[in-house]
Amino acid sequence: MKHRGKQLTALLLCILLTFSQSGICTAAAEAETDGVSQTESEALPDDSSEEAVEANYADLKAELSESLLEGTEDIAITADNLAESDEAVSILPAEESNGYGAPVVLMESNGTVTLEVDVPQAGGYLIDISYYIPESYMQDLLLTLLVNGESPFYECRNLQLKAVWKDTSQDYEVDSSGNEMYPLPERVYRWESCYLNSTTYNSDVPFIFYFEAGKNTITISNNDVPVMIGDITLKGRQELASYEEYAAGVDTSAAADAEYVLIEGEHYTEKSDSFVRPERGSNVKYHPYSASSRLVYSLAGNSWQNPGQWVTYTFDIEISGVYYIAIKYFQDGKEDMPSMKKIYVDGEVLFDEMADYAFAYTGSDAACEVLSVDGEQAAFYFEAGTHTITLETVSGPYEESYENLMSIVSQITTIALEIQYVTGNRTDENRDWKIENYIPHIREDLLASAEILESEYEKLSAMSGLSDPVLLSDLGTAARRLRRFADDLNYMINHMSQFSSGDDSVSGLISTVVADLLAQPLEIDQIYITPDTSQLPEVGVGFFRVLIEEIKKLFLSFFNDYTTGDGDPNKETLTVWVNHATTNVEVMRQLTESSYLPGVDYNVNLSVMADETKLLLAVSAGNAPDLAIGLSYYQPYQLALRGALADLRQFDGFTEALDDYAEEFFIPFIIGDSCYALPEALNFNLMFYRKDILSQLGLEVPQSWDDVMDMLPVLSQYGMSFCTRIATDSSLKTLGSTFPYFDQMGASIFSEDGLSCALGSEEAVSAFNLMCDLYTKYSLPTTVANFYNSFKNGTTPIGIGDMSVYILLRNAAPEIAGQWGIAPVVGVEQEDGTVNNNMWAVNTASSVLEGSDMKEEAWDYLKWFMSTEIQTQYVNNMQLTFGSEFIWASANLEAFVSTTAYSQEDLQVVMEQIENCAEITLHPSYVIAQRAISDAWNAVVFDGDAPRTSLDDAITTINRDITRKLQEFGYLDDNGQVVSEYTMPTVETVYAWKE
Amino acid sequence: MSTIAKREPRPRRRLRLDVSVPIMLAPFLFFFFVFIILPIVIAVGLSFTSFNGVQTPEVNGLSNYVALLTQDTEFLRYILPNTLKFAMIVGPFGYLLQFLLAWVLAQIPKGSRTVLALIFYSPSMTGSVVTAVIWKVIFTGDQNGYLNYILEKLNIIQEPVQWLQNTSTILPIMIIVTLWSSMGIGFLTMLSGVLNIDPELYEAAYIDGIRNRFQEIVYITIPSMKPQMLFGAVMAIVNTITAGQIGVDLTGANPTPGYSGSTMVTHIDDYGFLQYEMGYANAIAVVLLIFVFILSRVVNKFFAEREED
Repeated sequence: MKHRGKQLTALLLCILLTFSQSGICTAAAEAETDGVSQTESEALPDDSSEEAVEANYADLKAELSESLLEGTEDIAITADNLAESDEAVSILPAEESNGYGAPVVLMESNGTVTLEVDVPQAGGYLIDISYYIPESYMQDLLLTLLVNGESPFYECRNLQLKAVWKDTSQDYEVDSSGNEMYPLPERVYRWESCYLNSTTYNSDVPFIFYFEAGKNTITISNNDVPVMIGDITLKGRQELASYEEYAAGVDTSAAADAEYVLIEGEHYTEKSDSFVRPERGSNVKYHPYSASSRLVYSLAGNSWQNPGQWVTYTFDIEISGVYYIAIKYFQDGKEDMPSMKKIYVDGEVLFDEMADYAFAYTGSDAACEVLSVDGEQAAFYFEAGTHTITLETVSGPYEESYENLMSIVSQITTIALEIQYVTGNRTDENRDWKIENYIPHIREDLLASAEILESEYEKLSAMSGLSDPVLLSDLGTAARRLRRFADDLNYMINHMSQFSSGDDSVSGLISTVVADLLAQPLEIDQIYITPDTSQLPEVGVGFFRVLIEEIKKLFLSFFNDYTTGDGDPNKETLTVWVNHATTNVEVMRQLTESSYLPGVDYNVNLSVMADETKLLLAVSAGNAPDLAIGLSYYQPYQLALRGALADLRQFDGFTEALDDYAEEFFIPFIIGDSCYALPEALNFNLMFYRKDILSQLGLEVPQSWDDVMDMLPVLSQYGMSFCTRIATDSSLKTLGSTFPYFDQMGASIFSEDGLSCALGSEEAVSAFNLMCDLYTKYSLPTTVANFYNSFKNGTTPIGIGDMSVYILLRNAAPEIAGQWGIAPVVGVEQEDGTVNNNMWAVNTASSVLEGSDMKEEAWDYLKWFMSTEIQTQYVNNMQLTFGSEFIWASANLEAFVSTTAYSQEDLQVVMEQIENCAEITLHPSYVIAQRAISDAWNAVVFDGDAPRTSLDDAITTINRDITRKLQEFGYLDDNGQVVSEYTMPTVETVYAWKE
Repeated sequence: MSTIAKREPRPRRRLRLDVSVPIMLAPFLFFFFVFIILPIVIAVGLSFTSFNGVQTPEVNGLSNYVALLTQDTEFLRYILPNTLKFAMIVGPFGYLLQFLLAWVLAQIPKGSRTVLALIFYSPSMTGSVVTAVIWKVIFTGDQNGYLNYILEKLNIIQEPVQWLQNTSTILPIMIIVTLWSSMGIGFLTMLSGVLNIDPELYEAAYIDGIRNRFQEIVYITIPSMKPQMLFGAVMAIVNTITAGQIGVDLTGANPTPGYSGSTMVTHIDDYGFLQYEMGYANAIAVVLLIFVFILSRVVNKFFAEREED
């Protein structure tokens, strides 16, 4: 009976749904513009994102390839061809061209120039451009190029020109424990030329541009630092000789008696990016090796793994003749799959086979690859003299696979949206969907995708030479799952997490593989140029040798001295504890040794503080350092309350130092009229959103919480949601998550005299209501385990995240590059219509310890370290040495802005958010306040308690603790009478200091 | 029966005090004093002071203890009940489980017994952080948590349950996890205790008329392994009272949401290292010490009395 009822209901529901569905369709057909139908009509076509107005190069590639001309003459466009320019562009005469020898075009940032060119034959051309970047700029230079006033394809918005870099010195500096330090990079200023090519792939055939016969114009806009442009040359197809042709053209006699030339992998002479860097360590499999110290031993494989990056080695040949090139390398980043490199000798690719050279996977043991063609060692002819060999990362055959796989991912996203539209993302095992009635092509689409996947799998595993390469195993799983889904569409609808959302879904699996395919890591230990390959030394290291060396290292490690400084025992030592990673400390150490130590008569000992809570124990044990750098923003307050920190206002230059920061930054460090710390680093909060998904759903980027509430119905219709800071916090909702709600409403946690809790005010109550309503009434997720992941796979297409999310998205999410944006966080709409979206920004701070007998020196060091000049160097050195993901958000605002880690656009948003900062106001009772608010929220959201009563409980708890704490710190006597006044810190205090 | 249980009186030898005894004892006494006696004395001393970790402690008499009983509402409302609930369930059940598993393992052949004993023993060796990592995967609060996933699949729940944030589920989870990892040193001792019993005792008992396995356990096994049972009991008490850290590791916050999984150990941590009230934290520690001491005296008495009959 019950069963029958269920069936009946199901039938009814189905009928209802069918009708409602067709109803919506008709509505859409009638072009009604209410929210739902609009969504429906826009959800279907893909690529409707407003950013992608032009087609992608990949879509036009086939057509353009056919048009590419062969054997045409090169057409040079020089400064004489200038047709139009704005004031940011000037023509420099040959004398000022930095050695170009002809007049050149100088473009300041944001300059635009139009050049005219006469093209005799219509067709596709490659563009080769000569340029000179006169500034030391870390990022690659980006240009926009238009042909005849129109952008030929999307990628033309950001064409990349690489600057050339080298290491300042390859005699590596040694720290006091004998470890070599990473070298610092510097720019090489010279004219370069390159084909305009895809930054994602660095394809074998560069971008092809179609020109009509007759007059054409090329318009170039400079988006970055100034650049000089020399000749621009239009070229036809560039053919490479085959190996036979090359071998036939050179003298093939061996250079008898010649010794082999050995180049260490770390001794590259030039590199494409500042952060292409050597690797360092103590490993017997590499050369050089020392059991007692860490030496710089190879070229780090992942520092030049992106297509377009390159390194150049220079070597001398004494006897002319034929040589073989052998490379001792490690490739353990791309399991079972080869890494592709293009190999230039003396700046040229000598023959076809060197254009995509595959370096097989090695695991953790070295391999020695003698460059070969079809299994036969390739002979290179070298005249006596200096030569170069350049290895450039290319994507080679992976490009096509990448394109195909990404097209599957985007198709999956489209299908998923269509399904979610029909089902509303409510799954019920007992319900059968006739999904093909709504999406007729779905089965074919799935099968077609599965077929592409299978053929890619075949192709790629053929490249690896293995039947089942580890890297690809996820592709096989994905293909099998697609077939199963096609068989049983209902199963798929009930398991959407295996299809489109989640890391383990089909699209998640493909995305992970795809990112790995494009990276081409190759760690070079040594390169040999040898006349006879039998001369080469054995590269492998036996198991027992490794074992013995490891044992040796273990014993040597007992005698290591980890302190630093020049170790002169007669000098005093300033002890500095740094609460950051060793990489940061290393850069600090380099700066200290080069810029600080020469001017003072004491040593500085920098050491990593593993756990900042140990600082208090160190203080009570009398082992405290003189200076602590990088404490969490609340630590100085805690320590200062207990008299462990020195008041910075007593020191010289404090007032001047204030100017480097926003006044608001000091709020957490103020007690009474004293300041106990300097802000060190920031952590900005931003709102991240997926441009593609929002525009498909017809949603706008929200500005206030009201806007968020308006967009939630549409999001939840597709099973999507909005991520808040509370959802990413642990089970204790810290003030970092909860304080902004109160602050934005104009409420504060503590009363102005600090004697009671102010959460009873009307504003505070409405802030707390908002904070709870979002999760109770509007069903925002209370936990988002990993915002970056769910943002990437689209389940949470919008939300608030911090700097770490920004860094991850920028550096580790190639599959959604360009599809996401940032905006200031959402806030509370005020009565005058403006939105208050203030957020805290200070993340870490530095303090001088009260117990130190070198307080003046400690302050001097801190002042020096936080000065604009040193912070700017620090910010840049971190990135230059370790790559763009090492963003150091200095609290010194001038230094913060100097970083090149953000695009100009992003930096504006970030700065806007930082300017709207409201730091968390601390109080002796803030620990309990944080806890009480968190518990109150918890009680409302999980236990269903009434907000008002929970908040009242919190107020009682906080008030009790305020009395207790103020008594402990002597503000109140035992009877609760005020002994000395506690003042809540405000920005006015900081302004007063400045006067 | 009584003839079997009776032991031969030990030959009494007078202990002669020569030089070797103090010398042999010295290292132990030294370390025992430095690492056990001294810290306890200091802790007791500090518990009568107000000490913030930085400035010199100020003596404030009994006020820490008074505050603990009169002002610390969390202590009386949550901490004490939690600790007792946790100890009452984990202690006896863990102990019973240890004995039963040890007894069951003793019945099977040596090879598989060793393997199984190792498997049961290994969770207790892993630190509570590692344990928390393993169990967090199961109790994660989104759809990806194992338990949520399974329950959702079985249509028992519709929305993911926030196991580790919900105040009513934290304590039960702590109890389950602690029981899982309770097969520690006490379990090994009991296993060896069961194995050491002379099989002839059982044979004799069957001749005397016992009829089943249960009687075997009650009349032979347990009386024959009293020292191991005592050791296991003391260890169980100490472990359960000091094992409260798991709640903090699981939820990632101290105190746990709404103090729902907070025990005396985490309360000490909270006051000592989060609120820097070392004097007060020491007072709680002293109370905890007294607790453990009393409980182990009770247990001792329980087993010791029986030894005499």
